[in-house]
Amino acid sequence: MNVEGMIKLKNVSKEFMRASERLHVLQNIQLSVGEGEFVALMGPSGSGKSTLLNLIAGIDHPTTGEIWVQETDIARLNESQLASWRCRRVGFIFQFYYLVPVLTAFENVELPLLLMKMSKKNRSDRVMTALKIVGLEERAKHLPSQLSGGEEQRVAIARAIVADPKIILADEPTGDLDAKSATEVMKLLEALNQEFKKTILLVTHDPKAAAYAKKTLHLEKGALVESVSSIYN
Amino acid sequence: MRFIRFILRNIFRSKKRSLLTFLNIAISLFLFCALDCILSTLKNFIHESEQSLVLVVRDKHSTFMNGGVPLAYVDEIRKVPGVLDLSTNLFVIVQPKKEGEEPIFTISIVPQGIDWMRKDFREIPQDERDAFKKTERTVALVGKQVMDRYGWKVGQMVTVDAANVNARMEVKIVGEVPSGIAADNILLHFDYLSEVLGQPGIAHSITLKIASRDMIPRISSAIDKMFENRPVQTETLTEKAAFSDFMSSFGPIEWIIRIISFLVIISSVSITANAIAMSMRERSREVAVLKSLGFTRRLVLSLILSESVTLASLGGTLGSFGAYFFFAFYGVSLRLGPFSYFVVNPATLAVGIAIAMMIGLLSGLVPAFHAAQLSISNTLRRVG
Ligand SMILES: Nc1ncnc2c1ncn2[C@@H]1O[C@H](COP(=O)(O)OP(=O)(O)O)[C@@H](O)[C@H]1O
Ligand SMILES: [Mg+2]
Repeated sequence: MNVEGMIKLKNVSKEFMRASERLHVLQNIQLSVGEGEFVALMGPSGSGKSTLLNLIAGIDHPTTGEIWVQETDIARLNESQLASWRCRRVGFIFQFYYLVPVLTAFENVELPLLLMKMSKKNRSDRVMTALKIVGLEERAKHLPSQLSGGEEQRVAIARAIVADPKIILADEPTGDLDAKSATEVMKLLEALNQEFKKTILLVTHDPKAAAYAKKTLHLEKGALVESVSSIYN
Repeated sequence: MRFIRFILRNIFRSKKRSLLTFLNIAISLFLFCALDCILSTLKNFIHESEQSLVLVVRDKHSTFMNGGVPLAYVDEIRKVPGVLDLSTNLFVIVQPKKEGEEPIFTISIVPQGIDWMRKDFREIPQDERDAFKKTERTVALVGKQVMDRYGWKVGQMVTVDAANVNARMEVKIVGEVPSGIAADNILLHFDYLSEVLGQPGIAHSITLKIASRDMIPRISSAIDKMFENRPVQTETLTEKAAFSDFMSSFGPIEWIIRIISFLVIISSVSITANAIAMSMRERSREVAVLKSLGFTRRLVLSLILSESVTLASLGGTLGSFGAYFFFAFYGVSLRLGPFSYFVVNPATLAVGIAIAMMIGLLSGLVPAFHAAQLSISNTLRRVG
């Protein structure tokens, strides 16, 4: 396992301006996530977990600091470079799955592949593979409205992995699910980590979800605190 | 191309809203094409009648079909320089055969006039015109619409009665007037109608064939001066003026029509823009997710614009072709000859569809730009 590896944050700070007031959300964050790691990020609401995840995904820019993801300092990329970088390198999973309601499960999963040069056949194979991994190949033709919340989230996971990114960033993926669906989703993430060697950074409130991770980090008042075994147990 | 399905599905996402937008654009473009067609038909007609080498002499103080120009004037008019030929005309309304049918307007002319009086007469086959000129006086050319209405055939003898006057005409149909105003008329010989009406000694109008357009003012003032102090004064007009006076005030009408077309399109843009903005507001989170998947601003912009342009083009196509088929099917006409048929020409169709695309583009621009610019994190944070 290459601990130097996948994600490395150096002195990352993030400020927001709110009503002419400077809000220091993240301060001097140092973080290193190695290839194949499965890290849970916990912390109270408003502590900056989503902000941190967004920075790593290149969705937001840090105020200061460097964000290295697979040998690229993404803080230096412009918006269109980031867009194409994101589509190959990271899969993002949201609390609310945000599937396109007028597209079938298959078509939703296909979306990231439409951005790449790829034959239709190749595309279709990859979509079906991703749907098979999340256990929904039978539901390929279904619209999101015909799926349960847990199934929708699994389609969203298929969409996140279809372009075969090495890194998966998940922002409270079980936050909107019942216990059973949440367990399914966590088992799926665990499998993606163990069988498919994905590097996973999971933001969660839920200690049960965090328990699937091999390492848990806590974000408190803008700073990271590492805890090896969960304090919630 | 890969995104066509995506675009189409999004268009039909809110079926009711899209349908309403679609109909709005279709109606706008129908109106645009219809108005443009009316304008160009009027223009064509004016242009044609401006080209025509025909003047009409009327009794200045009479209303249509009352009074008339005394036949005694004919020889004097014929001598006016520039007058090449003339036709004395009498009109009579023919009683419909069955109740509720439209009366038939019947025109009698000097037979030779069939060759030059009106453009639409040229559409009558030459042999039928010759038959009208050469055979005896009791022949008729009958408009197609009249033929169809009564089931008459060329070669048939028919008997018709004048309305309001005691006169019966028995004529042989020697030909058919296929189009133009006379397609709804019966054409007879002047001599015959004059006799049937008991030789009134007048013509309701006299049509002059003249040598050139330049001579119009000279000829008309010469004629009208000649009869200034006679019992019946004349009024000599161009065909255009004789047919309709409103044509002369056509300029402002053109402007009004253009402005109406423009306003129709503007209203369509604002309605469409609103519909698209509404739809985009509902979809902002989805758009943010697309961007998080790697959709660039430019792609988001073009997808949304494609959506609005596609919807508008579909509506515009329906509306434009609707106008085309409407006028083609109903054969709406000014009834002033072959150039007065309302036809949406292909150029108007093309312009109509181009305008629809413009409507789509303009109305999609602001919402698409907003969507392309929206910040992923801010948009998604609002809920999460
Ligand atoms: N774009 C923004 N503008 C202003 N404040 C923001 C913005 N994004 C996040 N914040 C603030 O930063 C803090 C951390 O937010 P977030 O990262 O969403 O927290 P968490 O995900 O841990 O609940 C919150 O106080 C939030 O209000
Ligand atoms: Mg959050």
